[in-house]
Amino acid sequence: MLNKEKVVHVRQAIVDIIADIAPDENLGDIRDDVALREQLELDSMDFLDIVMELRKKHKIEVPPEDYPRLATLSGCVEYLFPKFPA
Amino acid sequence: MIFDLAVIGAGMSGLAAAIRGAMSGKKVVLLERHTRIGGLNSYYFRQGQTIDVGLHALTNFYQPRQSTSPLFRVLRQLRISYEELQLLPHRSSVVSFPDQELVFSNQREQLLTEIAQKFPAEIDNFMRLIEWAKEYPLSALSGGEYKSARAFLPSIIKDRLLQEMLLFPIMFYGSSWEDDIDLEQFAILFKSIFLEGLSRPKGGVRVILQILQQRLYEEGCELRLGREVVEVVDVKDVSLLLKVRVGAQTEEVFARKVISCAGYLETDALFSKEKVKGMSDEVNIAGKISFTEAIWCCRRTPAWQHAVVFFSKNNQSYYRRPPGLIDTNSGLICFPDNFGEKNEGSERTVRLSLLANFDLWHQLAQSSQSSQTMEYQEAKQQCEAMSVALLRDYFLRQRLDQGPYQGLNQGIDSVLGEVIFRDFYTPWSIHRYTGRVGGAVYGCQKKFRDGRTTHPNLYLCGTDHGLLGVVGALLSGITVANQYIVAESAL
Ligand SMILES: Cc1cc2nc3c(=O)[nH]c(=O)nc-3n(C[C@H](O)[C@H](O)[C@H](O)COP(=O)(O)OP(=O)(O)OC[C@H]3O[C@@H](n4cnc5c(N)ncnc54)[C@H](O)[C@@H]3O)c2cc1C
Repeated sequence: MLNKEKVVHVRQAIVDIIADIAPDENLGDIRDDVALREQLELDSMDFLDIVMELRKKHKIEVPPEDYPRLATLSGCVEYLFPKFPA
Repeated sequence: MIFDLAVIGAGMSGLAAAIRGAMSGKKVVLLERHTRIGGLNSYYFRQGQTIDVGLHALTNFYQPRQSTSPLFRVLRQLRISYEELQLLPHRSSVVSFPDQELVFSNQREQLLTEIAQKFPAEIDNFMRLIEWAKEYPLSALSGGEYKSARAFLPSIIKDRLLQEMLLFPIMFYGSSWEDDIDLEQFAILFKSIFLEGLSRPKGGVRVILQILQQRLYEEGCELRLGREVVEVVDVKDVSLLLKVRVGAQTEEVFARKVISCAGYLETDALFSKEKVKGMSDEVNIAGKISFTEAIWCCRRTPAWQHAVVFFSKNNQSYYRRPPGLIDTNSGLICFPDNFGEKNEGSERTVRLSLLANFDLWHQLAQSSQSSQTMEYQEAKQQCEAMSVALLRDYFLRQRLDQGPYQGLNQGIDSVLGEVIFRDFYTPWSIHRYTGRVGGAVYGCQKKFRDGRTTHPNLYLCGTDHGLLGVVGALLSGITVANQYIVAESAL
């Protein structure tokens, strides 16, 4: 997979997880560089679920000290990119 | 095999904790001594009718796309869709005192109008109370000391009667302390009842339980019914051994962590067999609040406007363990059919909860057992008759012969004259069914707000964690599991 393709893939994986956790949110026009919490009704419990799903679906561990890196969609992609298989 | 998590009790909080644990990929077993889940909230069938036990109303109502209610968080965390619950909002409910009545519904303006009309000098204070409650910092999972709501309230609300009328329904819906409630719980319940509001799932509590059981299976949690945990043994701090009674057999379950919704004293008794009962100072913290509950299932739906009636016969509210079997000064009436549109309901029941004295009911039950007398049964019949009288009395005092309620007082007589069946629970029934010490519906007089116990791998959720009611219990199970099970990375 090319880097660009992988970025799209990682981004989609995160959007899919959010869609599972928060099916009532409109994810269509979500902005990558604005904090997720400002655009969606997500609280710390929901972020815990994002971490939980990353572990379950993609076998990726996110230690608590790294949670702040998941604040925006672009932050998520940047942080998770190296952790996803090529 | 060692489970990552064993949950004691399939009460609302235990169910939520087990689902969350399993969702995070842990191996979870849920042990419940009854053959049905739900704990204080259950149901049974009688003459083609489903009768709910426990649930009158769900608190924390919200409309889709309003997402500040704890119920919203609960549904999202458990991945339950709002639509599945088919919530029917109450049409209106009332706090009824001799000198004043406060009618409220899920439209907040209604309560504000009531206050403005009936307590005009207090409306600004009441607005301040709303702001205060919204901003109250919640200490769940951070500890926190008991503070008296009764001592605090006069700093915002000056009118004595209004203070009582606000404290009364809130104590009734969740205080394990006599004539008072912890300030944090006051703030939570004030929001849950008056700002968010009341509703009932269309199919009653059974709907919630079916959804939760379905979620347990989907997440791969092992549900073992008819299993009573009789002892918990520490196995060198790495895991806990639960000795479980299954009929006449005993089975052993090993788990790394245990979450119990059985209550603090109840769980402690399992864990420390060596402790001499009655010697511990903890005995004093046993909760004193218990209730009787009368249920009448009628041929027709009683025509009455309100869904829930919190009534007090005195302007000073009374909320304590009464000196007699029951207290007839105040109580809670519920008409399950007054949720949703008119004529939507088909439960045709009326329910009445009264404060009751566990010790007296306990003694009667014991002596009836030893001497084969019928004292306990007789007392039940007498108290049920007193409950009917109270209900009639309440209707009559409402002057239903006038105005919009014309004719309803005859209504209640004829409706109650056509009761298909009746049921009556006592504090002793509650104790026997849930194992709660003293039949204390709201648990003991100490809350464990971080869910921790003296054992590093044993946690409490539900009533004694300090969150109660159906929604509170669910939120409690979620919070405790999140903190101690989900958040820690793979075991
Ligand atoms: C009459 C009545 C009316 C109520 N009305 C309402 C209402 O209208 N709205 C509302 O929100 N709330 C209401 N409540 C309160 C609400 O039911 C409780 O606050 C809530 O259900 C508490 O849940 P829990 O998980 O803490 O505990 P519980 O429901 O008490 O669950 C404890 C469970 O643990 C099991 N257990 C105990 N010991 C063991 C053991 N050793 N081994 C295995 N299993 C064990 C018990 O069998 C039980 O299933 C009402 C309660 C009562 C009694």
